[in-house]
Amino acid sequence: MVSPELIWLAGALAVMGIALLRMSWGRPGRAAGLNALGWAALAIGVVIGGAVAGAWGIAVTSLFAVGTAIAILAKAVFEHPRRQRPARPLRETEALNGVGGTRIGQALATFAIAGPLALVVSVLFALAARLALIAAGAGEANGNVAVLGLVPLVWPILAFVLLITQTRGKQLLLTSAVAIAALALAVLVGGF
Amino acid sequence: MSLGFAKETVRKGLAAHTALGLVCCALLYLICATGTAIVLYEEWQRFEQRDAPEMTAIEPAAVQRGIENVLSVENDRATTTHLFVHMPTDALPRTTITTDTQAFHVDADGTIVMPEENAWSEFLLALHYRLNLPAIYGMTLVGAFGAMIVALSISGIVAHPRIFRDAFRLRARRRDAVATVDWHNRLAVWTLPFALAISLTGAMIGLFYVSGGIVAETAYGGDSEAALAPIFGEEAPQDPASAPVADARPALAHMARAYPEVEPYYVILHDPRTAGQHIQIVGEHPRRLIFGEYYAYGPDGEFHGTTGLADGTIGQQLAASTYNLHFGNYGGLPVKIAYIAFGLALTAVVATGTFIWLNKRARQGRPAPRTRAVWSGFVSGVPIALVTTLLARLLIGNGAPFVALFWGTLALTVAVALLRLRRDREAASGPALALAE
Repeated sequence: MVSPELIWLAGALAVMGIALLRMSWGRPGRAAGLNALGWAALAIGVVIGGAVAGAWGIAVTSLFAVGTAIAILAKAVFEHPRRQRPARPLRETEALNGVGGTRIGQALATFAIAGPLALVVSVLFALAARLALIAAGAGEANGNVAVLGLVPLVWPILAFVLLITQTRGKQLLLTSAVAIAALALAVLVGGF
Repeated sequence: MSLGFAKETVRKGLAAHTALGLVCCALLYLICATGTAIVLYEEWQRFEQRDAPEMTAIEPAAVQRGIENVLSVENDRATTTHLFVHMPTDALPRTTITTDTQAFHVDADGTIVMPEENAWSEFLLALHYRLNLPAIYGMTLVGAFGAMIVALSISGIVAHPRIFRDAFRLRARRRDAVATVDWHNRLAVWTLPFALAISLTGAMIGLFYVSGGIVAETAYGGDSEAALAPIFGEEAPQDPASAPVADARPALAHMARAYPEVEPYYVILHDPRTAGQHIQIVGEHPRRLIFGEYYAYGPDGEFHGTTGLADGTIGQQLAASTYNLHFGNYGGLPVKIAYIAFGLALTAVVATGTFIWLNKRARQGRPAPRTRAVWSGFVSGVPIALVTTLLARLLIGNGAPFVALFWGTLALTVAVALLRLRRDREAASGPALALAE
């Protein structure tokens, strides 16, 4: 049994990790040693947090880390800039990142593919994962929760990949591939 | 240190990030702002009704008296199908009994003191949960926007090749476009774990109608309760024959005896005054993310077992952890304060994202003053509208028209921003016109 008080050690390590990373990244050159120390302190903190109180311990340790980083950033609010260069003027091509010039029809088609279509494919993927989990003996509860958890995870990842995929053909190919793979898995585990 | 994405991938990532951000910004800002405010849900309820009776604990006998008192008040109507007793907790030290139709605060003896009046807190919760829309549409929409925060986080990481190197580079005092970019990037990077945690859990909750509905449709003949039964347990069979009201006292006594480390915070009576009635106690487990465990009892307080949210399958424990992880109520006030700070940061990230796009347009020589005015009006309008509804709660009371007030005030602030733009333009063009005349 790990002592509950060790959560404070986990928090202290998280704070130290962020402070070390601040020192490391604030140097003009690469500081591999400090970098490694910072990441190691964070990792050990998270491991101790997890050992003390599982997911709760990891969540609380993460709050220590994020809180420290925000506090360090808050300090920067009161610092005057050393010198101020005007913001770089933008070239036509980079200003709108391709959004402004997109025709409405194309934009709507992209929205339909990355939005509702990707959602449908994600649901198919999650349902296939459910069938696979249940077939593997994971049980109904795990299978059903997998659907609840996978849809909001797979959909945004797929939407992002679709948005950075250049041609409409490749977008449709990708969605079809994921959908077919999901259906194939479902058939394979005897879902249909 | 860089993440090493190819230049073309970075460009595409930035384009995707911009497109997603522009499509989602308004509702995302509203969801983040209201989500930050609703972290203090219990505290807002206390603020709304400061004269409600408070206590640190309540005796089982008083709980039973409270249940019987509330049921007797409802003798003139059909008996409630469920009765919830909120037990006093650190965040909300009140005993409140809720039926299908109303809710009352009771004192430490179980005597009804006053009806519960927390319409503003409920309005705020509904605004965050479902944008004041019907649940099926509103929750799904909010859930979809939660998923889009995940997509924005991924695209933001890809679009930022120096994410670690610049992690502490904040030129906040520059008062120009660079400062806006720095605020956006730095807050987004450091709130990333928080943003992913709350967006994934929020999307899980919000997209339930889609994901849970499809599981029910494909595997349980459309029965949503059957789809949830393996996770949260199933309802006991009903028996409508009349019976004396169930006794919560032995159930609470058993909890105290068998599970002294567990803090009961809800007593739920299913189908009270029927032969099929039964009791559920929701108990909070210290240092756990789960909202609690269900402890099932018969009408005479005989223990039937637990559901398994605390020690069942990983899926059950994960599902039971989403709510607390999303709303930040798993570590008392310190965690809530952290959630408010990070929530404000995330709200600022959304607001500055659109300003960065507007600044880019201006630097490119294609300013969009109307869009900027609308966005400025919206960004300031959401907190102004929230404060307006809170003032209405204090001045008008529990029955104030919060939904109309909120959306009306928000529309007004956007209109005012556009009018100011028009006035400024007229003022700027005035002398030139005068000279021309």
